Amino acid sequence: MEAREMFHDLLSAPNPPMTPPAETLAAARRSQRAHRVRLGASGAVTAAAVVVATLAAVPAITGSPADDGAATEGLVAASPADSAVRVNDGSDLLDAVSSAIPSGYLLRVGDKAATVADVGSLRPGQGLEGVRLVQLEAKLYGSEQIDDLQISITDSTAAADPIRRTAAPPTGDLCARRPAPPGMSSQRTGSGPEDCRTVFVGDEPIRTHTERVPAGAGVGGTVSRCFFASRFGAGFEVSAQICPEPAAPRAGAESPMLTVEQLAAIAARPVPAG
Amino acid sequence: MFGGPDDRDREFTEYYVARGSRLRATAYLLCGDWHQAEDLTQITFAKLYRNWRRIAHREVLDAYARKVLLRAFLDERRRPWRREHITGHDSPELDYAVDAVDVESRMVLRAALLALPARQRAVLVLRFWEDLPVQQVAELLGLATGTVKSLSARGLNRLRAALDTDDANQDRRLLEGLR
Repeated sequence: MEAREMFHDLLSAPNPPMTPPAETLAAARRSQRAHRVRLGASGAVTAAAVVVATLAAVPAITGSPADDGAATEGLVAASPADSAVRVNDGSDLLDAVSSAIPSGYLLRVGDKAATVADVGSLRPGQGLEGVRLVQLEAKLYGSEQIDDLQISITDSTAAADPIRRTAAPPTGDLCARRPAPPGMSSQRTGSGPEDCRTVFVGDEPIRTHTERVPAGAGVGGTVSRCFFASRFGAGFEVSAQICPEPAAPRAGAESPMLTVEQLAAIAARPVPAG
Repeated sequence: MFGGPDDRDREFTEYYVARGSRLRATAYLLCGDWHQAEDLTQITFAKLYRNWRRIAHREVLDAYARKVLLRAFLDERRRPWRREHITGHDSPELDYAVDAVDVESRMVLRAALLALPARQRAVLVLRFWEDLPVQQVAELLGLATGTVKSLSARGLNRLRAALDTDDANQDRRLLEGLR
């Protein structure tokens, strides 16, 4: 049998219908938008796009700020599928977050590093109680600065109260205007979101933006920047926020110690279990 | 250049209608799975769309599309979490009766094709399905022309041997059934 005949024979088997032209065109358009956002985010970097998580950190229990708080900015491509941490409760969330923070920092939660206050247990879609599933509030210590770090996993499919459902943007449009997830609105007011862009952690798109907020009372009107990172999963949203602590030793710090990309890597790590 | 920016969507759609099926067939011969072939085709067309205005002539569209498809296929092969499973079953349901012998032969042929290394399979598909000359296949795959020729010959021999074995097995079963 000739080769071409063999191939014709193979192709003569029943096969599924082609994707309709309109759907292919729509998908191509979305792909182009996502491609443009990636190029915009990474500047001169190639379209294969960027970023990610770094060296594993040591979770904190020493009781004093690390001597060397310099951020380690190793850029290693990470795959969320390989590094995702299943989270059942606050301890798991702490593990997930601490494993994503660059080495050289101290993470402190409450009075003791290992204590995390859970807002609710992980039961998506069970009504008001289940809306904010798990939240972690921590302090991140560097050598000269302390940042406030807040991570939450929110049920984005809360059945009882549609107002509390997070409005996950459609695919490929992560920077569309949307309300802040419940529980994540800062008490500080700022100038609103700016610099919205999509950062890729491996293949996972993370929505990031910055906000300028007052640096704290009595600091003479100094403004500092907070970084925000959001990851939209099936039925849940992971939100991360980091701001310089207003009453820190070096009050008036203008930006958090971590970069937007490092915060995105943190947001990419936890996944609700079950 | 093609028409203006407003024409891109129309031209793109026209090209998809005209050539999409053919491209998907090539993808199927490369990967052996219709759903993966569909994925590869969609990836290819998405890239085509992004570069549409840079493609100077319609005549090079086919060549460009083929190149993108081939690259997408070879890149997918390198991903550690994608492993090939030769199940011997075509995914789509049959909506008409097909001779059992035809189905079995096709399954044997498909298995034999998928058993070839990816590059050798690509050589056969590009040479004997896409009808490309040896030199062009060599350039596309980054191989020497002599390598393309030897891969072609050995690959064809393996496919024919698989079919010959299948024929012999069918004859034997036929004879046994007659006893």
